[in-house]
Parts: sequence; structure tokens; C-alpha cells
Amino acid sequence: MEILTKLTKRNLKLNKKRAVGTVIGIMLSVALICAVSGMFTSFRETLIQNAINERGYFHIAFETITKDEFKKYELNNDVEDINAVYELGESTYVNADKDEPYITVYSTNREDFDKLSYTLVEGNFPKNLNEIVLSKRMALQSGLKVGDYIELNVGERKTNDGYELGEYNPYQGEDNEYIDNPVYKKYKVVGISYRERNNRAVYGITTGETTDNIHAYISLKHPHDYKQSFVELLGANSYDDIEFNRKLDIGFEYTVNHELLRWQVFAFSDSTISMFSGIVSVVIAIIIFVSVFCIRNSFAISTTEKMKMYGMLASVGATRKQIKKSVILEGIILGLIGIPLGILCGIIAVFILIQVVNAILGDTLFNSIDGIVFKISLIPILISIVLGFVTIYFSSISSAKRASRVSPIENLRNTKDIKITSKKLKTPKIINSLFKTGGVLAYKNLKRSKKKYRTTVISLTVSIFVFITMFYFVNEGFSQAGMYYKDYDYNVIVYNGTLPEYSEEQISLLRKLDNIDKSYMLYEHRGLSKVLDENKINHYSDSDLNEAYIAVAIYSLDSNSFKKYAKDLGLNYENIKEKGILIDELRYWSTTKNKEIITDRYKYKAGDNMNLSLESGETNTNMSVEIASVTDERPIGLENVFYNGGYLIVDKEYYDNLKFVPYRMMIETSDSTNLVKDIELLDSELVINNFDAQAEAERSMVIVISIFLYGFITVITLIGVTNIFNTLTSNMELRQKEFAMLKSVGMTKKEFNRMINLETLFYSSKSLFYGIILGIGGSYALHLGFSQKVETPYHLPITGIMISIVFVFIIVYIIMRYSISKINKQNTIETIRKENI
Amino acid sequence: MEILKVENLTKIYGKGTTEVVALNNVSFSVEKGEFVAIVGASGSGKSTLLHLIGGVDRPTSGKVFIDGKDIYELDDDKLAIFRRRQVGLVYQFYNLIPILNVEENITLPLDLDNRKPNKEYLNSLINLLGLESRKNHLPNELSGGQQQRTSIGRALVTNPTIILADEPTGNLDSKSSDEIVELLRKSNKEYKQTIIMITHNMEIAKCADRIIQIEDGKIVKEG
Repeated sequence: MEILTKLTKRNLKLNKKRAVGTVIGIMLSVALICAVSGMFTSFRETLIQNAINERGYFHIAFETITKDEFKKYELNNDVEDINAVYELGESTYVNADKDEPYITVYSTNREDFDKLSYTLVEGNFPKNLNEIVLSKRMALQSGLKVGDYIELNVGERKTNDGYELGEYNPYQGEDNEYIDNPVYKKYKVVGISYRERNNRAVYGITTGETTDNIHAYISLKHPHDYKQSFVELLGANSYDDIEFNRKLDIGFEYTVNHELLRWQVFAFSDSTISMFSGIVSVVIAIIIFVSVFCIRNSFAISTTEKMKMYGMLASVGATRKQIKKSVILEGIILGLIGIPLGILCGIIAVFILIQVVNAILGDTLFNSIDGIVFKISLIPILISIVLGFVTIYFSSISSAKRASRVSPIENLRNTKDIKITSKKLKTPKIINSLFKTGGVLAYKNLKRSKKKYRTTVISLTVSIFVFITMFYFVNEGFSQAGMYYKDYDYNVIVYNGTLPEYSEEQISLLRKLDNIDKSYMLYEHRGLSKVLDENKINHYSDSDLNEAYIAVAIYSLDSNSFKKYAKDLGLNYENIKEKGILIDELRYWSTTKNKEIITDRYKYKAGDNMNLSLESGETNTNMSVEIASVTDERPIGLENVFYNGGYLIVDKEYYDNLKFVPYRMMIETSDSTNLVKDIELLDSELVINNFDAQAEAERSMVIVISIFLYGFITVITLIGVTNIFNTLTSNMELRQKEFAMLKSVGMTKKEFNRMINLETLFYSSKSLFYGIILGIGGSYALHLGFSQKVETPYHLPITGIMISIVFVFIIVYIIMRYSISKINKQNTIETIRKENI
Repeated sequence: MEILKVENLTKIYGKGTTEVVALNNVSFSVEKGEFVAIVGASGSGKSTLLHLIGGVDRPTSGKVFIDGKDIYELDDDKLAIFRRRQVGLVYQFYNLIPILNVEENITLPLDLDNRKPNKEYLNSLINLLGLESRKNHLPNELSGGQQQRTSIGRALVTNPTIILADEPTGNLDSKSSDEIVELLRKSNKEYKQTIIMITHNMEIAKCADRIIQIEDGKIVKEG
């Protein structure tokens, strides 16, 4: 077989351009597959890291187990590591917030501390049980600094009736709970700790003490078998029991770390993951389709060009197997060059892309990690290699078969190419009158080699389809970004933090800040407001709502805001300023119909009186409010909220008998950045949401996605163009003799050009026709996807279509011109005689 | 000893209205060491006959026996192997592999068989062909006559049972033609090579031992 190896190698060297063309095709496809899977693994790694940075590395957490239980779990075979945080208890402290007066004290090791992603923002980790690290919030609240001492009485929270309370039970009040068995402790503050996830928690961490109140964090040896492991650990009957939190015979609460599991083992497939994998599969399918296409075509061309040689070899006595092997060998050689290059390019591309994305979006992408992590595991590389070789093999096999089937005689005579009857070659008269002889020849030519042109047309069509669809996506994406917030009348919102404690003076100070164009204040009534009108309440037997009593949530707006709300509802403010507006929209899960039901909680109508019993602490008062209107339209600040008992909105000025607490301030501003700065300076404990910034972030996201998409389109188009280049140039070369003969017989340059132009017209029109239709289909599908979030009308991607039309004609024209110029340069006679050598 | 026997050989191309009977029930035989010339007008079926003898094409009906073996009993692969070992083909249009040099083109049938040529034999063959100075050149660097000589070398290198030459001088000037014919005669006389040569040139045909005339697919005269 050595001679055939020699021949293959020499052929490759001789037809460098063709070989390079094929190698580039292989390279691009492999690079694309490698890049897509590389981005996937990088994203996944980033999300895993993000989950770990947020809460630490664990798969399941047990809230408060005993030391014996802990030991048992430690010995379990499935458990890789178990981290313990011992809860010593709670204590009051000096300068505590009167609604949150406790500090919870824990003890743990440095290892566990780090493993659970706590960080030291100042100072050191405690060396012994006399030292303590305070949470950032605790430090702020208590005013303590590193080096200070803190004295605590650490014990258990209990209600007056003797029930134990945990850290998640809200403060019941001085009169309802106390600290049981307090133990005096004095600690030296040696550090401040912080963890994004519960940055508002008030705690202190010391070391060296153990209790029977352990928060255990378990990481598994085989995360992929998490279901089995959990079932075993918790002694459940099945995983469903665990997931749906059914009664398990254990004495403690548990939390599964869904975020980590989700990305580590692709567990809990929610719509995001299935959408994500759907996209990746579609993308890879497109790439494979286009590349198999392109590479197969390259081989077909290269083989066609060598058919004569194969015929000669067959006539001299080469067997079919020998010829087949030589074609496949060509594929292997090109693959050995193209695939590694492709993988290298893919990896570099991923790296560069990540740097670019991180530069643009950086820390806005994820909560707990600064940017995308670059990770290429072996899997994407292996996938690319395998897919690459498989593609090449299948592409070359068909050409190999074709080459080996060559009958030496047919090849020497070169008649096989044309398999068509004269009937099929009939040309409609219009072609002759429009385009004359050149056109007629072009038409006949296209009819005779439908197969060859099919590959070109398909390549072009795919490129056009992908381009138009992606173009639509990018355009819509830009206008969608920030659309979500366009519906709001404000762009900054202040809430939580210290806002509920603000007095009216503080509120007005806040509202007087520079840069505020308009502000709206929403107040919340704290306490239970039970609805007394039984006859006005709808009960639903198929719901699992608590129907023991129905309470409505009472909110109030400042007068101007209430006026605006009334106006939006079409009501006359003067008539209703002392009345209430009832928002009645109940949503519950029907256990019988197995779907979400949206209906009314109440039977109230405008003009009815709503009788309420207000309970606050020990006191009970009755109140009656006339209902001005029943609606499901929310006032400013309460968009997108739902509460089973409904909302009652009143004007604060007329309800000063009720205790309202500032809830949210909505601000319209033309300079959100500076406003946010001013608010932070005024009070750093307020929580601020800057919608402008979020919209900006969304836009940046779209920019990043466009980069990916346009990159993708470019590469796919390049593959397509390479393919088209190969096909067209080879077609031209194979017909050299014909062209020379036409010229010798006297076809003018003009006629010749006309012939070529008609061919161009044909390819381009056919592919544009199909490509545009497919592209419109694709863009409409995207539109349907987008309209899940925001309703917008559908626009045809006219610009995208225009660009593709121009692009296609230009490309095809250039390539054909290029081949023709090469042909024109040849001497006519030589070309005709060339056959004889 | 009969080295070639052609029995009722028929070849029909095309179907129905486009049917062409290229060979019509042709039978003849050739003895070992004979130099036979086949003459006839264009389209008379000469090339078809030669290709069928060489196993390059398959007949519609009839048999071809070479050295007693019915070659059309062989499948395609075995036929290919047969061709490379037993038959030397020389064409009018040389049909050399353009990317192999003279020496490589000559040894091609052996290389396909994974056999190494006897160095001495090869050198004497190249000398006989007058190609020593062009040994490493590519076909497009040779003149027509040199290319055809290379072709003959390729046909001779395996010491085939039979050499089939299809219009070997058709593409050459008179001087080169003479050289080629002389070469063929030499290999026939000195190496006892059986040769069947097609030509439409009666002068060249006369160099053969026997002339068979073909017209419209049938043998009309044997001499």
C-alpha cells in the first residue's frame, strides 16, 4: 500500500489550496464544537463555584443534631466530609436592635469555617473558646471593634410556656420569651466575618466548644448518587419523601443544597436547565449538520477531481479496497492536521471570550463570583476529537465508495458525469429570449448537475437562516432589555433596612434629596387584620390554604400617591379619599384539578363595608372601611405581589388611627447613580434597588450574548463560505475544457459572463428563498419565546433579510468571478489539449 | 501454445433506441509469442475488443481465456489483481499518473502488488526504453514519445502474459512512432512477449506477424 500512501501525500501537497480549504473547514467545525462545549463546562464550573462561594461546599445540611447522630453520619460510607457548626445558644447584648435583640453564638473549626464560605473581612479566626469573631452586621449593630471585649449570657430561647424557639422564629417580644439557662461568657473580639448569603445575620463564632446542638453540613463521596445517599442518611422510603418534605421519622430539619447539586450533577431539572441543554443541543446539531455537510462536500470535490487518476489506477490493477483506503487515508491525514488545530482554536476562543465577557459584565453576572471561570475539561476535547473523526470518516467513506466503484473504462472516457436525458434538458423559451445562448447553456448546466449545486444551495440557505434568526434575536434582545422595567413609573426603590423605623421627618428628608423628580411612599400596617364578614368570604374546598381565619393586608399611600392610584383606576379622589381600595386576586393550587387557580377571595363590591378585627399584641380593635372599588390592579410599589387575603389600600392621612410603618419609597429620577450615592450617604442601612442599573446590566448581558451569537454566525458562515468556495471553484475547474471550447467556437466574453451571471442568480435566489422563509420562521419562534416575559408585537426582520440578500449575491458573485478570472488566464488551446496528457 | 482465446465475445452499449453493438460475436485465438495487429476504421470496435481482452470492461456475452483461465469468472478485485500481474496495457493517451515520476510510473503495477522490482531488471528496462536521463522526471516534463515509452515500460515491468497496445503511436510524430514500434518488436522478438496492437496505420500493422481486420464489430479478415 505504500504507493497509494505516496500518491495521497503527493496529491495533498500538489493541491495545497484544496487541502487547505478542507483543513480549514475541519478546523472551524471542530473549533466551534470545542468552543461551545468549552463555554458550557466553563459556565457550569462558574455556577458550581458560585454556589460554593455562597453557602459552602455541602450537599445536605442538618439543622441541629446531637453528637451521637453526628458520629453516626460521620461514619456513613457515602459521606465524604461532614462539617460541624455547634450552636451554643443566643444572648442579648448591649445596643441590640429592639426587634432583633439576640446574637447567636456558634463554635466551629477554621476548616469548617472556610469550607462553608465564611470569610474574614478583618482580623483573625479565634484561637480558643475565649475569642470570638463577630458577623459584620453584629459589629455594626453593637459598635464593637476588633480588640474589644463582649460579655454575653448565652442560653436557649424559650417562650413563657416553655417552647423552644430557633433562630428562624421571629422575636415574640420581651413579655413572651426569655433566655433559659444563661451561661456567662466573656469573649475578646478578634475578627469580623462576612458571608454574602446571610449578610444580615447577627452571630458570633468562637472555637473549641461542642454541644448537642449541631448544624451539620454533609458533602457526598458520589454526588451523582445523591438521591440514594439522602434516602439512606435520612432513613426515608424514597427520594420523593425527602424532596416533598413529607413526614420523616427524624428529629431535625434538613436542607438540600439544590443550587450546588443542580450544577454539579444536573439535578432537579427545572426549566432553566432544560432550556439551556436544549439550546446547547440545537447549537451543536447545527454545527454538526453544517460541518458534515461542508467536509463531505470537500471530499466529494477532491475525489471528483481525482476520478481520472482513480480510473488509471484501476486500469493498471488497483483493487477497490486499495482505492477506498487511499481516499480514507486522505481524510485521516487532513483530520490529523485539522482536528488538533481546531481544538486549539476552540480553547483559545473560549479563553478570549471569557476575558471579554468578564471585562464587560464582570461582577454583575453572579452574586458570589467575580466572573466566568475558564474551565476546559477533557470531555469537550474528547467530544470534539470523536465528532471530528466520525464526521471525516463518514464524509470520506461515501467518496471512497464512489471512487472505488469507478469502472476504469468509464473514467477514461469521462462520460459518467452526465446522467440525464434530453427531455430533462429542455429549456423554456423565455430563458433563450432573456438570456440568449449563455443563459441557455447555464440553465442546461444547472439542470444536469442538480446534486452538485444542491450542496451549495443548502450551505447558503443554512447560513442565511442562522443569520436572520440571530439578527432578530439581537435586535429584539436590545429592545427587550430594560423593557421589563419600562412599565414601572419609577426607577429607584428604597425599602427594608432601617426604613421601617423612619419617622415622618426622616421620610420627608429623604424625599427632599436632589435628583428626585417624584417620590411615592407606601406604608405597611403591622399586625393581624381579620375579616369578620363571613358572608363575604369565598371558601375553596380544593385548596390547602389555611381557612381558619382570613386576614387582609392593609397598606397606605401618601395622599398624592393615593390620588394617582385613584386616578389610574378611574375614581374620583375626593369621593374616595376616606375609603379603601380592595385588591382581590387569590391564587391557589387546586388539589383536585391539579393546577393553579386564579379567583376571588371575597364577594365584596364597591359600596360594601369591610369589617375587620385588628389584633396587635394584646389589643383587639374593630374597624369598618367602606370599599371604594374592588380591583386586581396594584398601586405603585406593590406590583407583582400576591397575598391570599388580599390588600386594602387607604390614604394614610385619613387613617392615622392605624399604626403604619414605612414600607417602600418609589422614586422617579433622572440621575439614578447620584441619587443612589446620596441615599447611601444619608443612611447606609437602607436597601436600594436601581432599576436603571439593572436595565443597564440586562443590556450588557445582551451585548455579551450578541458577541457570542455573532461569533457563532460568523464561524458558521465561514464554514458555509469555505464550502461554497470549494464547490464553485471546483465546478469551474472541472468545466474548464467546456469553457475553452465555447470560447474557441466563438462565444464572446459578454455571452460568457451572461452565462455565469445566470448561474449566480439561480444559486442565490434559490438559497435566499429558502433561507429567508426559514429565517422568518426561526425569528417568529424566538418571538414566541420572548413574549413569555413581555408582550411585544412581532416585526419582520427586514434589515436582516436585506443584509443576507446583499451578502449572498456578493459572495457568490465574487467567488465565481475569481474562478472565471483564473480560467480566462489560461490559454484556450492548451486547455482543450490538456485532456490528452 | 494458445495463450489467448476469445469466444463469441459480444458487447452492447446503451438500451433500446440508443443501442450500439460494439462487438458482435467475435472469436479468435492467439499463440504465445505472437505479435498480432488489429486494424479497422474508427468505431469498428477495436478498442472495445482490446479492453475486453484486458479485463478493463465486462462483455455482454462471451468468454475470454488467458493462459487457459476464463477471466470473467473472476470478481472485480481478482480481476484487478489479474490485470496488474498478467496484462500490460498501453494506451493512445499514455495515461500516466501525473504526480509520479517515470520510474514510479513504471513500477506502479508492482507497487500495487507490494512487490519490489529486481533492480537490475528495472535498470535494463529503463535503458531499453532510453529513459535513464529522464528517470526522475514527471510526465509533464516529458515529450510525447518519452511518455509513451514510459507507458510501455509500465506494461513490461511485470513480465505480463500479454501486452495490449491501443493505438500506441496515434499521438506521436513519425520518428517517435518508429521508435515505439521498434520497442514493441524488440520486446516481442527478444523477450518473447505476446503483443496485440491496435492501429489504423497499415504501415505499422505490417510490422506484426498477423493482422486481424475488424469492421462493425465483426472480424472480416484474418491474416
